[in-house]
Amino acid sequence: MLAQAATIPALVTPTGRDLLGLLPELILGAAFVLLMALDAFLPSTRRSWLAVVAFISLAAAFGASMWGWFDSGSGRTLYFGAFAYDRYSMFVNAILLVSSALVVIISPQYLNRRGIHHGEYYALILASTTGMMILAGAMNLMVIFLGIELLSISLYVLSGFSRGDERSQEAALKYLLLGGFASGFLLYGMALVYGETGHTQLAQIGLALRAAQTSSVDPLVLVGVILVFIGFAFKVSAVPFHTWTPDVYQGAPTSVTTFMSVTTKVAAFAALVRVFTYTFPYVYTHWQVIVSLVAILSMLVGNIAALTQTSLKRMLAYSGIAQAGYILIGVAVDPRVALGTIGVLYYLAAYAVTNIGAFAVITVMAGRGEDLDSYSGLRGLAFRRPYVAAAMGLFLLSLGGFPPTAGFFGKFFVFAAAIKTGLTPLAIWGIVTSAVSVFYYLRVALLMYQRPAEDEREYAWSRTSLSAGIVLAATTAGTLVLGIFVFLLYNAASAAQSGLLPAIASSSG
Amino acid sequence: MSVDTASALVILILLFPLAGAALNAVLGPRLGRGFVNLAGTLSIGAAFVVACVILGNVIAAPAGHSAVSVRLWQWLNLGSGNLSIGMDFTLDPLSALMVMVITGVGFLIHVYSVGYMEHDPGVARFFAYMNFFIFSMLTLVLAADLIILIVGWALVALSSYLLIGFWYERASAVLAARKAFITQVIGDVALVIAAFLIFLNAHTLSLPNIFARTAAFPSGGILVNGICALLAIGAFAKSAQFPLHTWLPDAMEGPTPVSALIHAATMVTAGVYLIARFHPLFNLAPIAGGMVACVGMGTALMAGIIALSQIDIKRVIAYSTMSQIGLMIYAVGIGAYSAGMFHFATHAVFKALLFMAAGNVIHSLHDEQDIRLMGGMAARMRWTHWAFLSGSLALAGIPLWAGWFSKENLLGFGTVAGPGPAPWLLYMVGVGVNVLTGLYAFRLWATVFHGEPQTARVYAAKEARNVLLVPVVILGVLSLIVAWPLQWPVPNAVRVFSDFLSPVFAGTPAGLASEPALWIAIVALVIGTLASLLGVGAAQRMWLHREPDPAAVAARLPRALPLLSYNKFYFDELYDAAFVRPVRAAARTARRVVEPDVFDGWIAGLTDLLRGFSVDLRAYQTGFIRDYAAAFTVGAVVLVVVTAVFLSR
Amino acid sequence: MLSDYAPILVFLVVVLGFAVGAQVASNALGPRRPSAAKELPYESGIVPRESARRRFSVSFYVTAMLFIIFDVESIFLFPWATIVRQLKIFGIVEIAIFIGTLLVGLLYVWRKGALRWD
Repeated sequence: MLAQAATIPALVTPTGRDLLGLLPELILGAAFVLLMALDAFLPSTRRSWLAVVAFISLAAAFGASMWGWFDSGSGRTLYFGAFAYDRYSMFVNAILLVSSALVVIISPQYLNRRGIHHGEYYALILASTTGMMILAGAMNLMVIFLGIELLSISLYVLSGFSRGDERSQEAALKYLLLGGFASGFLLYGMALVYGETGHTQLAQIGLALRAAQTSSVDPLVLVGVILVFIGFAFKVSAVPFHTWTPDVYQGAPTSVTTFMSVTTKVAAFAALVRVFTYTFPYVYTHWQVIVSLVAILSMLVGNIAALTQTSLKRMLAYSGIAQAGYILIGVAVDPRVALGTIGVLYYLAAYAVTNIGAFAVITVMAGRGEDLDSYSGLRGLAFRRPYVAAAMGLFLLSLGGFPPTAGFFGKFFVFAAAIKTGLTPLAIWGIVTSAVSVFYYLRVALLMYQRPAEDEREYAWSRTSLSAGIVLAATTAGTLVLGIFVFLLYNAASAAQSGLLPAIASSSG
Repeated sequence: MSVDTASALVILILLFPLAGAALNAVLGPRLGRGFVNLAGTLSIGAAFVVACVILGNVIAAPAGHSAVSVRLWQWLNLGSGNLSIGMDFTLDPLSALMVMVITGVGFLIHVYSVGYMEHDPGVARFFAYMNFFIFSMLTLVLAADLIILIVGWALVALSSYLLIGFWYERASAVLAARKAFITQVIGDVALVIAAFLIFLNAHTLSLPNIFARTAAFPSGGILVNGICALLAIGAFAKSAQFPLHTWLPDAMEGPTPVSALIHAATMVTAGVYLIARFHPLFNLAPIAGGMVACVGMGTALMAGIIALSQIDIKRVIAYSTMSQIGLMIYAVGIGAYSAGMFHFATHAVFKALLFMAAGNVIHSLHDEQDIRLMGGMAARMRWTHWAFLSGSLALAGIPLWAGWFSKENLLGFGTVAGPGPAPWLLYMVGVGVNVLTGLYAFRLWATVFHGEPQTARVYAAKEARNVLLVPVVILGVLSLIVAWPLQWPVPNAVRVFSDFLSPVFAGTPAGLASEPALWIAIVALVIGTLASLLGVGAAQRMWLHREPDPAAVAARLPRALPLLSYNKFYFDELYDAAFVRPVRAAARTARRVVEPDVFDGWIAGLTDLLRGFSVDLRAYQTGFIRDYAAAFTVGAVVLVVVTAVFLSR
Repeated sequence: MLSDYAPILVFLVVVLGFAVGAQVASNALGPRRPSAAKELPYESGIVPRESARRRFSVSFYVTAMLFIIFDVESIFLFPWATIVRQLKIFGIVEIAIFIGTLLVGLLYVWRKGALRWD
């Protein structure tokens, strides 16, 4: 027995370096356990403490990620190649952690008002964020799946967090069933890729594809690649895998919608870029058409469907679908052009601050017991809450892509990358559909500056609390800073891109 | 001066006014008047301190290194040879001079505003706008990138618009603001087109790089003349020069400190600055330069004539401003850049003074602006009177007052430089302008401060309070002494000022604006001074002693002249008939005919189409999971089939 | 390349054919004489007393789920046990964290009242 055990050669334990590299994820994981324990023992009147603990742990994880940014240098892998320790994942971590922290700040007030302030909320947010960070750093098909499931399962529960609300329940069920459906596609695609290349490690898969590329590409591996893409497309809610988005965004509690509308997209796009642009560049010509097609459809359907919405959350859901289309342009460009990836990163950061800001307005302005969801609820906001309305106006402009806001430069870089690689039609399509999007964004903006009719009831907006003020100020500042001090984030995104693992072999085609 | 120091100084000087504007806008309404007054003035005071440090650093810089360009950040970069916009700023003698005047005079005007706006409920908004104006103006003069310069240029116009229309309950103020803004936009368009042309030929928008690549612009060619003409149009709009001058008198609808700050001392001289800044291009464009000189001198003459018959105290000063800026524009047009800038500096001092002193008079008469209803104010407002007198002496160019130095210096260049075969023709007009200046300056002084009080209000008038008086008196003293150590209108006498600016204008070729020989300069000085004295003396006789009576003089002139003067040469009416009415008529026609039939049809059709499409899409959003899963599956199958069949070779 | 998968295709056809064939054959060949007793659900010879379609207390589900969760989690102990000696101190720490996490989960379940039966 002993002798037998001694012959197992590959029994290596992870080193301290591996553990340190995972520090942000470990912090959040530990905080998750701590929160569950605290929630079990804390009296229900002290629930806001949990928010504080969650915020502190997010801040600590952010600190660890920043340290990782400087420490990772040109990047290396952890756990025998299964996990990336590079600036790219740290960059994405930063977006995720800041977004989560902002959501945590606005949550207690909103949850109290809706009467659903349970301690599990924060634990689930942290678990989901952990899953997203794992997804962002994953270098192994199995780890990708692990990350996706961790983030998804937490989100299924969060969507149904308002247990007395049928819509919330419906949202959770729809998300769960379709999510499981999509996971099947993803897993099937992974299986095919594994079957064809014999590896689950991204770096090895890339090498195998590169070798195979010299002869001919097996259709089966291409089908696998497309199925993997479908799995991701579901997560980023790209057409035609978007159908769940409006229902779930509308049904879920608004703070949860705020959270998932941004973070899921960020994490899934991070992994999508790592897998497609950096692992599958050798079959680029094969998947590029599919990605472009999905991007075109997303821009079209998202923007058109948003035109006639009368629910704010649904409108923002369709806007999110359209935004996914714009970001997909950055994925569809030639992998050899760095601007594509940089554009995606910039877009994600810009989208994160802007969209969190827009949803935060809906969250913090929500009245007691009812969500601020219909357009008419915003009418006249500018006269009662001028600063909030101004901030919302700014977010809408940014979503529409007006300079000098963050959204403009997100689109600018992505379109520039498309034009640079000969995908000009895609960029033109993006510009045309953005023009359409201006209609519905400005419609909402104008509503806020209209006085309600004499006999019309004004929505009972809540008072702007300190926490709401902090979040709105931060997102406003972020939207402006990313639109004015473009170089700050551009340089960081460019540094993140340059160390991205797995590196593309230079002789690729 | 190291780049780091320069960056720090640029950031600080821009940050203070911006922070002041933000604080006043956000916190001002809540924290009240005391806070607003402090934040509004201290931010500009701090900027003034920074400006002094900048000036010290520029003076102390070793020869040949007086200009430092700093890049705060790269705003946009699309690779070499492509569009690249940097947040670039430059510190050199020219920009140092500008920031000194802007923050120095600006600070005094802000202090004055504390008193002037004392009872206005919108004081927080006022100071927010004022601080924002200072920020915009500093951005404009510090910019080392054409885009940043245009941004500052536009922001200045915006803050001017906001401040002219500050009392937005008055219809006239709103109309005036709109008029000013529309005129500014004409200039902006010209400037942007010029920027396009420059970028197309020099492939850069960075000012130092543009000036280093003047080879891209063939000397005297149509290209460089065209660019300079466009730049000049931009300058004319901002500096209220013919034919884009009509907005300036109307702009007096704004509060008086605004008139002092924006429409006398700083913004309206931005055109002069622009031409001086682009002197490497203007040096290559003699035709455009000649046009600039003619327009400048023409405006100076025209505005001087108009100023003689206006009855609104602020409008008289506004026309005198227009006239004086005409002289500056003339100077930079003939290549006498540092002479033009020198007149800008002294003018900022005495013109701000005149406006603020006029503001005191208006204030003490409870918003009376008609000079026919004043008179005899000297006995009631002694300090204001003396300060106003000092300013008027400076304006008229009486020896030893600041205006004399700068104006005679400027005209001295005119004897030897200028467009066309007979440069001295414009100089002769300039001498005439001197006479006019003396006339209208002392007509105003005599009518307002001397003679019999015309209304009961005058008897009740009291001297302004200290906060209104101290800035005025400071500027009154400065109007006398500020030029003494700087520059004398005699060649090779004191020439600190032109030496200070000489590194900036070093490339100016000798043919343009060479200094006149000593004897010519002295003859010109004597002629000019005599002309000014003649004007002042005539004004004294006519309006102080009524011998001859001005009305009698006017009656003896051809009837057209007083009428033209009083009606401002009918420009407003002309523009109304030539532009405003046709455009309105065209717009009405468009609304009645073109829009419903053509555009509405198109747009309605398009929106109907999109809307219908959108509604169709909503039909697919059934809410049933089975339908969603079906859509998912169909999509997936299509993608997989497309991949397997078409994309795998 | 695709031909490599031919055996799978053959296998698939054979399996489907057998499954369908068996059903069809038994339906076609077998005699059918239904009676009331035969239609009863088969419950190891015990006669059912009432319909099986009735509502159970939710506590059954909760308890069952908790049992399965903790049961499955503890399966991880078996592979760990086989190599605990090679893992040395790392293995001990690792499993301590694992069990600690489980313990927190149990505490949570207990405090939230999921173990109470009423």
